[in-house]
Amino acid sequence: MRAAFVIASLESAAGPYPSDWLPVAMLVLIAVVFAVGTLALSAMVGRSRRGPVKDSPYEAGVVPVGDARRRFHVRYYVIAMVFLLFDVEVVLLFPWAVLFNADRSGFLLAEMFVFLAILAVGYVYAWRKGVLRFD
Amino acid sequence: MVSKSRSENVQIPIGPQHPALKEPESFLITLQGERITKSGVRLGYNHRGIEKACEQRTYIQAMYLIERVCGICSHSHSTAFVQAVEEVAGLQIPRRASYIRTLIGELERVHSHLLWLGVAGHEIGFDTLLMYTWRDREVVMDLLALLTGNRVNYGINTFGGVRRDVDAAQMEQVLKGVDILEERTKYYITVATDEVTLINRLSNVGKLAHDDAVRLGAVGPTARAAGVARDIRKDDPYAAYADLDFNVVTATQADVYGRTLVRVGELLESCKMIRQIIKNMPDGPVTVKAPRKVQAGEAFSRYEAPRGEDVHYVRGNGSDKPERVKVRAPTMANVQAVAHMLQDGYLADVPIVIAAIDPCFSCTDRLIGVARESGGRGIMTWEQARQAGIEWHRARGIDFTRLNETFRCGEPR
Amino acid sequence: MNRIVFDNPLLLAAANGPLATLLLIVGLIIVMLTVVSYLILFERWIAAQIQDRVGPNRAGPFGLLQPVADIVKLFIKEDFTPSHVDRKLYWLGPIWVIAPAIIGMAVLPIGGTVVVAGHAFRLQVASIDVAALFLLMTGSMGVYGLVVGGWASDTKYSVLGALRSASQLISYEVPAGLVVVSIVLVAGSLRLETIAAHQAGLWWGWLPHWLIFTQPLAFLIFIVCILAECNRLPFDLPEAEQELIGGFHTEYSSMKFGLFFLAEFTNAVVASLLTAVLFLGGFGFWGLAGDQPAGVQTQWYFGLARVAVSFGKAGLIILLMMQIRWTLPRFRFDQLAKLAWQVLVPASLLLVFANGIVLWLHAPPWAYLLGNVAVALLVAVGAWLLGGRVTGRQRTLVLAERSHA
Repeated sequence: MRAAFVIASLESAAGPYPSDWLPVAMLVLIAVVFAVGTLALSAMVGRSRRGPVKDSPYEAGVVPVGDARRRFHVRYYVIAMVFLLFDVEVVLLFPWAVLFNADRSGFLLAEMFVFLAILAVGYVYAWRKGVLRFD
Repeated sequence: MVSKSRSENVQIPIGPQHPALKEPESFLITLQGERITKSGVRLGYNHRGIEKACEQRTYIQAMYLIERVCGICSHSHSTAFVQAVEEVAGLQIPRRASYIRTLIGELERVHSHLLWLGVAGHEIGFDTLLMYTWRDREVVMDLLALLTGNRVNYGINTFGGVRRDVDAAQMEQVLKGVDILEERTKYYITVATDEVTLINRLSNVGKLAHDDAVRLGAVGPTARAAGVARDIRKDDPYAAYADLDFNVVTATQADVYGRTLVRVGELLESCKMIRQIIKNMPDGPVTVKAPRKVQAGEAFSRYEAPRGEDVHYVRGNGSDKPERVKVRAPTMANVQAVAHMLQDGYLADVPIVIAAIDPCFSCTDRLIGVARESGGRGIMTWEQARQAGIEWHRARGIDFTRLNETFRCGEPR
Repeated sequence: MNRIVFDNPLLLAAANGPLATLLLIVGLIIVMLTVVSYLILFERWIAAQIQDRVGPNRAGPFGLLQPVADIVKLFIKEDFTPSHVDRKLYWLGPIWVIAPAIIGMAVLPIGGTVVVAGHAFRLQVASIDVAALFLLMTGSMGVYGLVVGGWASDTKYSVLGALRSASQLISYEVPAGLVVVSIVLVAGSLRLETIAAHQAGLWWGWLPHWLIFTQPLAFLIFIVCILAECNRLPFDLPEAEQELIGGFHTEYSSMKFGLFFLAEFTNAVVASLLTAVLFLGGFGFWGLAGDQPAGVQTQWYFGLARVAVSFGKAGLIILLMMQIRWTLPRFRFDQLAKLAWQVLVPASLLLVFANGIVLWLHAPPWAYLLGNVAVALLVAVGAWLLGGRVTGRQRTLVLAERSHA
């Protein structure tokens, strides 16, 4: 069944199919040009009128109290830290997933399970510490 | 560029111009993360001087003006005022008139509660509920238009009775409409009691315990949701309520969810009452002759508006104009509880907590006493007040007197 | 053993030439923008249907010109830059949001390969070996734009909205990534075309090998994650208008706001196309769109049919997203964070374990389904044991019986 599948693709008898990054680079360029062009066009087309009240930050109709850029609450940092922990793990899992699918050795599986178990301990610790409670 | 302040607290103003509020009022919320540590309310953005204006109008003119205190519970204010004047004047209105007043009052409650349900849905990002309830609200609005000629500001009251009678065909229509409304209300009760996301979103939000509700003087559904069975229709029956068989709906949750349950419960009770009124509608005239001048005397009148107890005070001096009119709208009693409810809540809950008292800020806004710098209360002339405002803003870098120069003829600066 | 063998050398043709790529990119952007602007109209129409309203019907027949009117309006609106903002970052914000959204389209296989006038033409901008990671990357890159834009605006609502979106997006990034790991584990490649190819074929001659049938839990988690990643209700907290006005785009006007808006919908389309590839077999469709065992279909009309199938499947996902949007209230921040960290992360982690074991055992496909169900049960029981119970039904309407006064 699968052998007859038609999609042009990669890992074939002819060896690994190269990744084409050039089109990606082209798309990046075109996307940025599109965005900048849209903004430029809009800036040219629209009218402009200024005034002191219009210039002031929007604070629901009252004169702004204090500064908007203050220290954040520590909660946001904590989320970022936990995220970092897990995201590194996810990135490590990707190559493992591809490799494990290819050879399916029990050793690879056990290795990753040990790695995940260590992370799970950290996860439980974070939970117990109340990091994952947001109230 | 980060501010040097070590505090993690952020002060966020909600209002006067904010999408969460449908009327201008200002709540200043102090946040730590997403949690509220302090909140304050500032009234007075929408003061219209109606009380004072009544003193310069005849009673009948004042009655129409009072009806415009609120766009939603207009009949409540008008009835409360008329009741007070009738008490001063010593008028006894016909039974049929009191039944018609009660009928309009209950229809108004249905329309107000449906409106609230929609607004509450909107505040938690559930616009479909808004569209549904406001569609169903059309039914009761049409009934009110059929009975009074208007969808809001019904103008049905007059001193000594009501201005329009209700005929059998109209009552038949009302009964048909009530059937639809009751069926829809049952659907909303199912939504409110079965929909887990809705329950989780509303439960334990804006807590106001029984004792706090009593202490802070909460009224209406806000108090009843905390288990305070306070309802003027039972406690001090007016109009035809003494003849009606109905229950005071209360809840034990003491949170926004409880307030929702109380309001949907009251919708059912109102439907029940409307049926009773129509079934027992007495025959007879709908009005008695009322004098143009009202004798000297004063009266308090209480009315259970959809939002809670509405209090009107009228003092007559023998002329055709009232000497003093005082309105205490239900929101005035409830708004003090809002700060308490917001305490330790989330920023995300601010809109629904404020909305849960069904606020009507233009009814609430009173004249603000101006404190002199030397201490003590004083009176400012209009010009002084204007100048003080300009200087207050100028000290903060905005010169309103130069706005016209800046924006003259729409030319860019 | 899961290697795909190609029986037609034509399909091994190298990537498109520069001109063809340019053509493809421009075509794709045009198609995407049209789809996105009509999606906005479609969403409003769906909302109107759900809410028993008429919906937009003024601009052109059946309101079909509404997107044109919207775009023209956005362009001719005043492009206002308040003086209190950080100008460079303020302008950078919208660009940084829309660009990754568009770049994400690069790796999506939407139509396979067609042969036009003797030349092979691949309906996919780039075929890269880390496509799945690339899409996760572009998804995360957009967050920077929101944060930069919100921070530059220097308004409390914007800064708070930016913080919220950052923490929301990274929270849901983790379960989304783990689900993709599960899929990669099963399909054996990070290339999206290979993942789609893995799902070719039918069971009992009628049920496609789509991963949604063997990995329903993964699909569910992924849908929740893309709802959150695209800032769609019930997870549209960053721009919850009742609390934070417009959130990060409060101080933006004209096309700068328009780009934020466009990016949101472009992200939704890209995420739906990705979901279609991961779970619904990409452009495979019972052999209709060309995954015939008999031979390779490279005629241009088969290419078009495959593109239609891709977008059709994405359309179904989007329809689902819209229905969810209009039937649920918005989540609160704590509910949202709890859902991500206490339910979805453990569930998706366990899913990786389950799929790993099934793979190791060389078990038949139904074992994956079993694994999914087991994980779902485990998470449900765990949530129940740990007291994270939902509030559940409450029927305590008290009718205080009192005598007449």
